[in-house]
Amino acid sequence: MRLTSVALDDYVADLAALAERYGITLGLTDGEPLTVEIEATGSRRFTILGTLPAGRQSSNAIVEVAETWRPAGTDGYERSIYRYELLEPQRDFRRAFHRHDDDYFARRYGVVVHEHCEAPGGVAPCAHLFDPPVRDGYRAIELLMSAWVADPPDCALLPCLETV
Amino acid sequence: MPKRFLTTTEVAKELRVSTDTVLRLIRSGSLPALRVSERLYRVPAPAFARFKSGPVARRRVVHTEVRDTADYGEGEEVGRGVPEPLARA
Repeated sequence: MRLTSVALDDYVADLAALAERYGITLGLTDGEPLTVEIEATGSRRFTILGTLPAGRQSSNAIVEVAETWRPAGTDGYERSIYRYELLEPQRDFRRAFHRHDDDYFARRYGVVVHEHCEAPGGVAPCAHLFDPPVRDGYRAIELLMSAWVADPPDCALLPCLETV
Repeated sequence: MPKRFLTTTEVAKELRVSTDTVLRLIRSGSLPALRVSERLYRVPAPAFARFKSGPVARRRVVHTEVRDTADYGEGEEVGRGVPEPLARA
């Protein structure tokens, strides 16, 4: 997926709107703009951070959709890094979909993406799990909402990269 | 714990419309829902609450320059061989 800088701004706005339509409460006031940060390398990054109710105000689930897009072509950008996270203190549950440190993960595991599925308060038997890359931020929001709606999955059923 | 999702039948009852109408709302994108099968959807409770409160205003985007680079793997054992099992207090 490659976007122009204008299309990337639209994508960020659309992602935030989708998150809010799903009922995720963003850490922004009404009308407060979203921020796209431009790194010295020319890469652009953003984080959409919000919460979902969990019964008690103090233990809301945290939702994070963060991406970095690197320059590609003329006024183009392609998504190079992502972090999609659901952290639920109430259920002691974390579900995450990551792409970062490509070289390390490609060398170590032969893949560039990985996931996390764990009880944050305990010990995860597998630190890095595998599933196919997440298509885009829209799909990421669906995945995180699906994880929030459902009972926590049996993390042991997911393919562990450590045994590969 | 409060119920986390509604079925299309429950949404139809709440809105006093038919389930076909609810499915049309879902398929048109007006009502966010998670697809379970061909005709089976789950509507997250917060999404339904948001739907009932009216349309979401699209936010504008601003730019800011930063000097650092994001660390997306913060807290992970990366580049140190086989990661140790995560032990989080």
